[in-house]
Amino acid sequence: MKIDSDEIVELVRIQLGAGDVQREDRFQEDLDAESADLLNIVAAAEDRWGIIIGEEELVELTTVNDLLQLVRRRAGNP
Amino acid sequence: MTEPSSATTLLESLEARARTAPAMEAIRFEGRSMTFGRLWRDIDGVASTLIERGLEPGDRVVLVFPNGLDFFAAFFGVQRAGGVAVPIFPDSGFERVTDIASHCGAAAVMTSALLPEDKRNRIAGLGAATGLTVLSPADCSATPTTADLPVPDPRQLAYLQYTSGSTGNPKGVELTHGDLVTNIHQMISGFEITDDDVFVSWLPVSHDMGLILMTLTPLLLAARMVLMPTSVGSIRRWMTAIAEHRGTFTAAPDFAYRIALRTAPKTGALDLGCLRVALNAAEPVRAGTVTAFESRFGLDPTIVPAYGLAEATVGVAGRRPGAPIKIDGRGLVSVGKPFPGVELEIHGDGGLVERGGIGEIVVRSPAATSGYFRNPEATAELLDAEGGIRTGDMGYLDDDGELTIVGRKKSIIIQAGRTIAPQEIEETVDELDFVRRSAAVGIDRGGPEGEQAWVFVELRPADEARPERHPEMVVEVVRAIRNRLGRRPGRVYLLGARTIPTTHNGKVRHLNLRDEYLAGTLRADGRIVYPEH
Repeated sequence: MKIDSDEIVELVRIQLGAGDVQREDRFQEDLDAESADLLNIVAAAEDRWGIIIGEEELVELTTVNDLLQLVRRRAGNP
Repeated sequence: MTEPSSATTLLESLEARARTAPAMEAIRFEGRSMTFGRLWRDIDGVASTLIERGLEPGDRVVLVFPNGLDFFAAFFGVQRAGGVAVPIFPDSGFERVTDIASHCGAAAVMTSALLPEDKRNRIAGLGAATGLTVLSPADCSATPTTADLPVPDPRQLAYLQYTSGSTGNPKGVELTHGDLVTNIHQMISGFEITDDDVFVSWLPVSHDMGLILMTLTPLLLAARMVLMPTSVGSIRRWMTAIAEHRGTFTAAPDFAYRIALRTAPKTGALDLGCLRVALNAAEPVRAGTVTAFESRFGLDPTIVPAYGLAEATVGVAGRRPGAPIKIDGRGLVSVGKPFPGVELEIHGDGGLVERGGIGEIVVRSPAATSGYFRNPEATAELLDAEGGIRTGDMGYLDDDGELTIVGRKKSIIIQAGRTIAPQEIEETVDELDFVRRSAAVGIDRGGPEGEQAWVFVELRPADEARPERHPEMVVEVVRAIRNRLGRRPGRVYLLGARTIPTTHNGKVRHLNLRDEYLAGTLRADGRIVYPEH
């Protein structure tokens, strides 16, 4: 399954109600996301691509790009 | 001789009124009026025809009528013959008509000449197939022969109010002649209604608030009543009709006031200073609607929040007319004190909760139903050992003894330990210009985030047709909720027009929506327009 980076960026943007989101953005510092928001982003990504992301993998999520890499890995699409 | 307004049944009052003031106008509908004398003759005509066709005391007669003059001859004619009237929302699908007719074991179905012909034909076909008597008031005898009919006892069933429920669990609320008069007097007292009031209503006569408060109450008092058809077009004409007839009393759910705000002619053309009570009930009352409505039309406090349910006949509590609304720290609006004779209790898991605590509202009233017709299981769930009604609504009583509704028992959202009333989210989202209606439900998909508020947003058709704007709309919804609650919702979906399940009086069916989402039918039916995956 090909996962388009633009789709991840857009998913993050609408989950957070953000104006503009870049791949380098950090969830907490740049996007004002709380931990619950991050969980909801991951949940939406799981539902969107039919994958499961373990709770322990969440700690490595700092930027949008981290999420992109994680989702691609889980979807067998490095 | 009975004073009409001190009668113990509405029939008794109408009979006395027909005798003492036969030429007095009883009802006005679309420029036509009906006097008390004519109404009573028509009632007798329906009653004698039903008896000729074999109606026995206690038999049920289903009524499929839109708003109109002929409804009243049918509703009271059935009762005059000793029967039980079973009005049904006329826009109900044919299946609902047959389900209810079969559930209540109807002896006859009455239809209105105002019903669309195809609908009347289908119902006539049902009669032919099942042997059920089907007739309309126009088919009834003009020379009635019922002079010696007994007057019904107040304890006899007068009508069944079917509330929305699943097909497998039909709930026909049993109401007696006495319940109707008792509750009307409770509301007269609570809303300070007199025979000088002028009622203007487009609410359906097939349902409790439109029937009992907005038509039976003025009929009992012989107050003027202006009835309109039930349609979105009528909501647009509603404010104009109030100004034209110098209406003093009207009622509707909150959404109708929101629509009226958007569609009424611009200020200046419309003088609503005549309005004494604009009752707001049957769905959560929003402070924003009240303020916007009153300021838009330059009114003193006029919107009167109220609370009721069919199981208590209709009215249970209401704010005092003329008082400004009372808003709590959550932004919820008080629906006032219980009417005379009504007691409210708030029950938690461990019994009564302390003053101020949130719990299920239990209503004790002399106008409480004895239960659901032929549904002992649902009745046992509804009534406690003393006949108190477990409303399924959650609320609290404040220090003044006023009731505030917080939500439905099971639709309350608990997000990260915080209790969120769905209406708090919905109120916020519905203020966005592309939103027709929204619904917030608590969904726990089993992930670490736990239960979260998921928001389903029904778009206006024009906005549904602009997919390029959909992402921005979701962004706006998320921001609005965050601005209000300080938290973002778990998920937002945009839905096509008319896809959020609601009850007949417009309340969102949160649990159905949640179930439809979880079962995948929302997506499978193409009702989710964004996101596409």
